[in-house]
Amino acid sequence: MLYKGSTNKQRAFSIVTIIDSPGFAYVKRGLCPGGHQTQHHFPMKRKIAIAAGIIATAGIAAALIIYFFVYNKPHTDYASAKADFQLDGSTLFEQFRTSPAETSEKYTGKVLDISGILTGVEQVDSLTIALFSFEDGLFGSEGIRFTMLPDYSGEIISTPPGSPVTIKGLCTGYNETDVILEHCSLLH
Amino acid sequence: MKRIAVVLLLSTLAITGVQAQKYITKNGHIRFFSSTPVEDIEAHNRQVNSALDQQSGEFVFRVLIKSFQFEKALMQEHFNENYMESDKFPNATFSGTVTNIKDVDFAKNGSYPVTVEGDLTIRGITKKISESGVLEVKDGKVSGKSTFNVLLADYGIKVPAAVANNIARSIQIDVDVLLSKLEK
Repeated sequence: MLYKGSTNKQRAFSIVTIIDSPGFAYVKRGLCPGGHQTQHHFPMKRKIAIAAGIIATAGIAAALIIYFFVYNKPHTDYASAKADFQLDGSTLFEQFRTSPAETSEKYTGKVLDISGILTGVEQVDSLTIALFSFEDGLFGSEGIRFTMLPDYSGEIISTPPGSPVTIKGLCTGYNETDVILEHCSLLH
Repeated sequence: MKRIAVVLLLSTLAITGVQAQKYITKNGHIRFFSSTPVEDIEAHNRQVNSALDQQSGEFVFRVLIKSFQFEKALMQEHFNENYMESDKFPNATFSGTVTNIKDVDFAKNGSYPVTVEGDLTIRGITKKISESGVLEVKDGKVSGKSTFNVLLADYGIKVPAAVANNIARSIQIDVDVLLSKLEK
């Protein structure tokens, strides 16, 4: 028996006994990749142990894959993401304003590459927001608000208002005053 | 004497008229927090639109659901696709009033406990809520803070059995807005 405390000799004996025992012998016949016929004898217990080992390893691998690539999968890198649409800022704003539902369905959740004239930059706490303003509404100027990624904050702050710029980011929708883009990067 | 009273009344109305101001922000912060023994989940939205009318006490909020940021991308995906259906219901709104707006002196720095009542709309479902909070007037700006809870079931949000232990049935909402006088 292969219990704790048995000597090596005892262990060797028991393995041999198991292998030789007709009840436990397992004969597998098949062809090796080389084409010659092989004959392997596997004791059932060892086979079960190997199978259990493979299942456990596969289980651990699956758990790790799920943990790292599904549960902890990284956020999309929007700075290097390919834009789904390239648009002029005033056209986009006008579309949202005149037909919000259809425009929202088309562009919300998409990466947009938007060109226009930078009208200002707001800094609130740790956020830097670039603005394209198009009109004055009930709650001040309305237009497109781009929340910049930290790597692009400095660059947009130093860009003078009135400059033509192209900004890429994720469109999260229209809140009845402004079109909002998050995770934005300055293309030029 | 009567004349003095009329003059005083007119002056008061004129002053009130001048002071009928709106305070707004487009960068309000809303955080939601779900806590269970299994895990804590939180998300932040820092693009919250809010406006407060100083005279009527009308207080409105508008939030884009897709602007909520989670630590884990998967949670954000599930939040948008499974729970909030943000493609179908892109906004959440609150429209109500500060019932004791007269207690707030917008001309004087100070902290004022307030009660806000109104309609909270999430996933197209509107419920009446009444919550307490604080308005703090400081150097012409008004900061509004409130913490309250919403029940997922009230807004038809179903949690699948597989993650039932991970998501709280009652979610804590923290509102923090810094409103500036709307210059017209």
